[in-house]
Amino acid sequence: MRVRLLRAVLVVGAAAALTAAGTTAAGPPVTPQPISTGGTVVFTRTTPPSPGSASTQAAGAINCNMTVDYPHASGHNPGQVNVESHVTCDGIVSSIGLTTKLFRAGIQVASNPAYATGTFFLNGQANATCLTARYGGSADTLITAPPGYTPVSARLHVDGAVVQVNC
Amino acid sequence: MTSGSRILVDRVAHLDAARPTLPDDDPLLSDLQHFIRTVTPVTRPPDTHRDTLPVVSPDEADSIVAGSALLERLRAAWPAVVLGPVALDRQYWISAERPVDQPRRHPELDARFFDAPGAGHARAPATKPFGLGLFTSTGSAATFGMWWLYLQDYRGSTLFREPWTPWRVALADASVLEVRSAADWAALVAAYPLEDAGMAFPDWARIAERWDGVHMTVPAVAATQGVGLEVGGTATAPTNWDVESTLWLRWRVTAAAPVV
Repeated sequence: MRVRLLRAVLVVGAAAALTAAGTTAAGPPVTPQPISTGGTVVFTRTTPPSPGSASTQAAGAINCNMTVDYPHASGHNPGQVNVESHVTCDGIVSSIGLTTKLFRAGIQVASNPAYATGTFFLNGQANATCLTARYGGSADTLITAPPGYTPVSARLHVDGAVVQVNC
Repeated sequence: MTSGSRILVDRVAHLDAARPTLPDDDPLLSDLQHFIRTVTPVTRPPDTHRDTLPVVSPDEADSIVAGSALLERLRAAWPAVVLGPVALDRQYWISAERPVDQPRRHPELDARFFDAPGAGHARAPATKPFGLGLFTSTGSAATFGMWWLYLQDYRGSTLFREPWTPWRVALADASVLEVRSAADWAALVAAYPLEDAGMAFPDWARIAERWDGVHMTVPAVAATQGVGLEVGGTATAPTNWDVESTLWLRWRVTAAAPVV
């Protein structure tokens, strides 16, 4: 029961985040999703590609990985602290939704969604006014596999390192 | 093998690794985009200092990077960003809006807003000094340069807020120092050193006394990003140029107009 409840909360959270991005009203299909605490997921092909398919997917599996960088004082925009996250797959997936969060002294100070379809890569970032403190970042992604792969979609969560940022 | 050379060997392996291709991929732009995605992620703690800095000799850094097949393809397809010299007739500056808690950016490119390095500046040492001078990237028929490509991965960013406006920049004949390699970067820092935290930074004010601009090419970015270079008894601070760019230390713009 506890696991089911957690899954429901996470699915609702993902839909809300993606709607907030303003990229899609409907969002990705809401299906039961495996929950991973790690930064990787493997989508396995369950059906062979249809003959004559234009799909570029030939692999039997698609590996996706998510990382969260160190929060750092932005050189591009002085006065800001920024954290970036990256989702990289070795095959093209149907969509990637990604929410990146920045924490200052353990308190969330920024959250920013990103979304892309038909891609194998997505960057996310969150930034806030730079005050000297310890900062951490985290990222949540919802990756939807192309047709013919299992699981249909997967969520990943990664907490990045907590570091001191001097402004 | 040093800690710095391990980073570069790993970087070249990632640059040359097979990657998915989208149906409408332009091979050149795909290579440039892959370069940016491989080189730019921040992978080191922000409190890096001399004792924790991954270091490599300039010659070894250049030797490792020279083995990249991706860089070889770029060299053949787009020599201006790999070999230089900077193509003065194809320079673009990108205007991006600032974060919401900062004053809005002056949307136009004008000498009134150009902040030249000088003795009066009390800036923290930096390998890429933002808020100083002017940065441009070299464009081609298909893109407004690598900085424009970098931004494409940050649609919806709250750090680089849209709108993003590319400006075509015409420049007068200028004295530009070409940085084509780690050895070139090490020589630049050794000639104009500024010591801080046990590392050597370039002294931009002194460089500006001699040069109008500094052109950082793609191989130099690949060989110096995030690593220190052994120079004499010290090490250069790690760079974070991310993309091919020219830093203009003096106002050499003769005309500029937004691309519409």
